[in-house]
Amino acid sequence: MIVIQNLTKTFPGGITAVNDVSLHIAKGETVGLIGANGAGKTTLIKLICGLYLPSEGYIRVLGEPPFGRKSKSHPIGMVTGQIITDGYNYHFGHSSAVLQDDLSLELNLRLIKSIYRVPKEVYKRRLGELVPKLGIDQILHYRADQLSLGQRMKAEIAAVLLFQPDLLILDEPFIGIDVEARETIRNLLREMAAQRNTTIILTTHNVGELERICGRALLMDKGKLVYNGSFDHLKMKKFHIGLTKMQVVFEGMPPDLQDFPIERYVIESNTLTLYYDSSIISSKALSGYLLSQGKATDILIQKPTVADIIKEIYKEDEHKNDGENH
Amino acid sequence: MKDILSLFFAYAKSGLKSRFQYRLDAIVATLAVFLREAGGIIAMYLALLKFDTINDWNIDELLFLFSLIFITYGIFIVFFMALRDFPDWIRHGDFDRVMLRPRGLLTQLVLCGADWLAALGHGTLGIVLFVISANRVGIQWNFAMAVYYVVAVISGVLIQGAVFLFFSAISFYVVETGRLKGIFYWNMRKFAIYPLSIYNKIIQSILIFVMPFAFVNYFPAQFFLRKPDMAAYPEWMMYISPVVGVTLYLLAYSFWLFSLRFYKSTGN
Repeated sequence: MIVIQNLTKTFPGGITAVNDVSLHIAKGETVGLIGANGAGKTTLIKLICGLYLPSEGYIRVLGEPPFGRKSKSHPIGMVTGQIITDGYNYHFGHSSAVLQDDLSLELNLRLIKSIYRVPKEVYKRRLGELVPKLGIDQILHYRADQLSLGQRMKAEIAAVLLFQPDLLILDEPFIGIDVEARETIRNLLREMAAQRNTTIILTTHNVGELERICGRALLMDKGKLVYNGSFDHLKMKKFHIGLTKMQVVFEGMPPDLQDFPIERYVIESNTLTLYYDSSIISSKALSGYLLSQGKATDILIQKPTVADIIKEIYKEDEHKNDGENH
Repeated sequence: MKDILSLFFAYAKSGLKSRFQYRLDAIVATLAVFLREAGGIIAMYLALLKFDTINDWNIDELLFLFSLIFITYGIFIVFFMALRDFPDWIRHGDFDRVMLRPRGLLTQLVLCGADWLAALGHGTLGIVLFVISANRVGIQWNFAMAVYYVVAVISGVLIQGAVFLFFSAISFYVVETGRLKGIFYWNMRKFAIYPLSIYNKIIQSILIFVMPFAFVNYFPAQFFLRKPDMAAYPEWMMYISPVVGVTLYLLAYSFWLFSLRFYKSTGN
């Protein structure tokens, strides 16, 4: 299904986003792709979808080079929940890879039926199943660019399931989606994999979510594929990849953490170690708050490295008795 | 073919349906295009009343010359609207969707981008201009002339399409092509509304060899009008618009195919 050998993608300006990756994915497999922001996940996905031309290396998807694919009988579906930023502003105006912004969801679905040559009866049957399952009947007449992030994800997933791709790629699909809808989507994906033997690649930074669906984990760091194997082996049940570590040395009583949404903390003698998602909590605000209490004498902030992540994963059992706030 | 046609209708239907969800918007937009362009023509008409003729072309002949620009542009935006706005398609990530879908890239761009309402605005004006001016310049229509006219219009659409296909291909390398288009297309278009012969050698050369608007309206108009200023050019130039159109389009298409490999999806 997917064969990748020594694949490298370097962008103009010299940034190597994917570096010498080799990988095989079999038909019907469901694979989870993990990595911190900037690890090269999205670039790898876009190489697989044929949106980037590889700089070096070999890639075959469904038997042919994906960039400029000629055979159109085996569609690839891509759903992305990533909010694109230019570093300063969110581009809410960024168009979807599935839906056309200026059309209502209903018109989009009909257009997709024509583009992917879905027979009328099949279209009706699938729509009849998907609409109630995903609870999108209320938003069918909304324009695609008027949907909220969560609604848009559901709409895109409905659209993709409508044409039943051979390869389905979901990039952060659970952003903004409530627990119930997640369960529905998970079940739909499992069904697809089981009944149609669809190959699914999924990325999310919520590893627990991945483990529920995926049979295999791929871990990327700085463009390299650093782990390729089972989740059991990784034992990453309770961890979110890519947490920033802050070590605070304090005097007397440990400082108060107010209501900062810290993922996990450990207190050892006079050192408080915090793990948090720096995309949610600003390191500056957190350290500022801790310093303002006058108890902290030293603060060390470390961005996550894969070595740390893996070390943490293997130390999971030791941490069980520590102050986990899960 | 049948397949492409059904896709064409699917796109046209969804496009029009969505536009008519905001019916008033759609009508106002069409009317606005019509009025804006008609305003331009009225201004030109009033200015021309000051002169009897420009290089021996009277006002009706000038309007006939002008009508060819409008009619070809009206058809052009049905087919090449997406190429006109192509940098936006790349910037907003819409081209990713096009790349992922199992249909030809240009087929999708052409069908999806079609702006029927703006085309209606431009096209109606072109037809009104054409009917009035063609009648007043006294063309004696016969079958050969009708065929020539249709071929000339198709060629004019292809020439402009080729130019925009070329600019679209450039957007694979640089993000901002609006200014280039401004200089080469929109400015040259302003020149093209008057007879080619009134300009100096440099502008004439640009209009013939670089941004060949001369083959969109001047030479085809000369076929019907045979004004004396045609003596400055070889007569066969009146007949090569289709060759120019097809050649340019094929060149632009090859360049587009070559440039596609430099496409870089936005994001990250």
